[in-house]
Amino acid sequence: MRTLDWIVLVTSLVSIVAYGLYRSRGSDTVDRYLLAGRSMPWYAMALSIMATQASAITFISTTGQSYVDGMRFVQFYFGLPIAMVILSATVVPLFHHAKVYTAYEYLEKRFDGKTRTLASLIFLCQRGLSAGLTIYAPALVLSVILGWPERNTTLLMGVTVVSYTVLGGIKAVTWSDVQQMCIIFLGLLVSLITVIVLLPKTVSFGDAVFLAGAAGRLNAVTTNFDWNDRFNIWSGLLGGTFLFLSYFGCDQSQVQRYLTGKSVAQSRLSLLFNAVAKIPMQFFILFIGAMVFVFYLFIQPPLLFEHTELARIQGRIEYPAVADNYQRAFDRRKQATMALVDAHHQGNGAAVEREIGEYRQAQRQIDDARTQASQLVTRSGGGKDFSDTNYIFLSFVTKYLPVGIVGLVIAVIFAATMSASSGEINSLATVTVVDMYRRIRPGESDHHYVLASRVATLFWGAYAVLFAGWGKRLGPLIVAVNVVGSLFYGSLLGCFVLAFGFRKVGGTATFVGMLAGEAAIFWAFKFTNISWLWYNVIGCAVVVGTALAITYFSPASAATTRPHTPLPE
Amino acid sequence: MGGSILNATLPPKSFPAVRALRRFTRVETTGLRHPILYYVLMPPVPPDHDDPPPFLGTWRRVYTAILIYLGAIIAASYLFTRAYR
Repeated sequence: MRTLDWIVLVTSLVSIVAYGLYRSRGSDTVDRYLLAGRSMPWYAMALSIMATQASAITFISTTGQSYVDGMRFVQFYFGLPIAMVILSATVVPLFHHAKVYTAYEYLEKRFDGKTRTLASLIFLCQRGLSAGLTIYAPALVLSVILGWPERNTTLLMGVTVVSYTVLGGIKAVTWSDVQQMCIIFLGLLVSLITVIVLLPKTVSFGDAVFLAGAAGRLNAVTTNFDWNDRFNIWSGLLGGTFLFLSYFGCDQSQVQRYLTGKSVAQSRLSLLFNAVAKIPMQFFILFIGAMVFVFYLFIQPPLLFEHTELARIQGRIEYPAVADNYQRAFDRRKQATMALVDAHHQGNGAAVEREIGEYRQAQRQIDDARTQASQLVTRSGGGKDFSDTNYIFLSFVTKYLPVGIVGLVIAVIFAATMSASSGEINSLATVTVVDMYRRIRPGESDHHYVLASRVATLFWGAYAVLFAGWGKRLGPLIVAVNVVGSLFYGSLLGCFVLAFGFRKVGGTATFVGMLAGEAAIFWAFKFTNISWLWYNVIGCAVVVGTALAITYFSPASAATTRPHTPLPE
Repeated sequence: MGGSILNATLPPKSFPAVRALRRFTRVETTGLRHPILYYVLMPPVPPDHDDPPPFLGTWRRVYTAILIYLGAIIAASYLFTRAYR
């Protein structure tokens, strides 16, 4: 990072925080602090929803995911438009008319207090863990760039985010998200253009796309069905739909966004904007990762992208042989790549096939060398499941992007994290105060509950910072954050499906169903190889099935059923 | 107005499981008292409760347009994958 990069970075961050705080003035009541007085326009909510989901993890890890596994991760988002349509038609008007602060508040009106408490606890566990991962990602950035220990950078990020969230409330979070998304879009565009410009002069954009395809990095759709395969069109459409139904319908960090809307129509538009924009955005980010891969076909990448681990294994006696193999494999791959480009230019199909075969053999050698290096890391005291996927894009940015743009990209990552973390911590504080504290100590003044919200924000910020240290052990962050979510979302979704769709099911049946759903999910996680995208389907099905069975075989349990929460006129 | 959307689609001579399903989904067709699938087919609340969308006239048309858009995106991604495989 040079002086200009620091200027760009500091200016971007200060302006974002200052603008958010400026727009949040007057957040002195619970309604304003937690729901912005239900005054937000749809475009602000839409960008805030997008920014909350597109944390730094999206940029750091998704590009790395594309580098190592191609673009098939995009299928994960195919269920999102379906989920958004269902939620816009069902949950949004329901929550708006019920005038609730949290999604779980509705459950007490529909079922009973214990169901609300259990759902709130499930949310607090899940989102608390995810908040740690969200803070860990930018801490990773700082540690790579500044060479600081990750613990210190985690603490620095945590303190910044917490102080900003405590002061501003949801209005600050939402308006700073708007600005952050503008910077994010700009940063993405500049990154892609720069990657393409940095390719060798003899390689056109068309050649780069051809090479990415030949290397298997443009596999956006895979149609084969496999329970154990994380990303294919079926898991994306079905598992993804369930995951996003849970995320946007039952997760307070998202529900709180569209509860701030002026009207049902404004909230619906904010969700539907995401239905339209999210897949192209993810496609774009994954494409950047694929282009970074093509760039490294011509410029030798480091054996490991995490330079601290690389430095550690360089002293091992086995290292020179691994590095030598890697060097030879890279030279062979580069030669095959150049020959492939020539054959492509000449339109020589047979030569193209031959060179692709040669390329693949060289790629296998590279993969083997990297695997050996990872094993060296493990043997020399590194993490058990070492993965440098999260470092690939950052390594590229800091080493090859021109001065000024490095600062911009780092600002994008920071901005995204600040918005995602602050939103998560804000929603955790909301559930803690509204669904827990206010029920224990009802009848206090508005000022008291605002103060309690600020204290709760502080608590959850500290919790997230402490948990962040665990993030490193979970492999690619973008996957880790969704795995954590999937462990809990299925039960929450099942609970809301029962609330909206099955009026005869009562609170006790739902409560037992949720416990059974959680048990089923953790059983699948611990004892099977079923992909995590299916956990949401399994959890939801077990909750609904169990509750229906209890209600059917024990009609007395339905006696606890309350009528549906009426629409306030 | 009463009854379930499932009453119209299930066979007249129902099995116990079907009767059980009916039992749980028998709802009135106004306000909030809909099974969740019903929302996909019909607007969830009477039109006078909600603002119309700024385009396409009704929310139902907007939802349909988005699902068509999803189909187009998947088809385009599939063709993209095949073209560069």
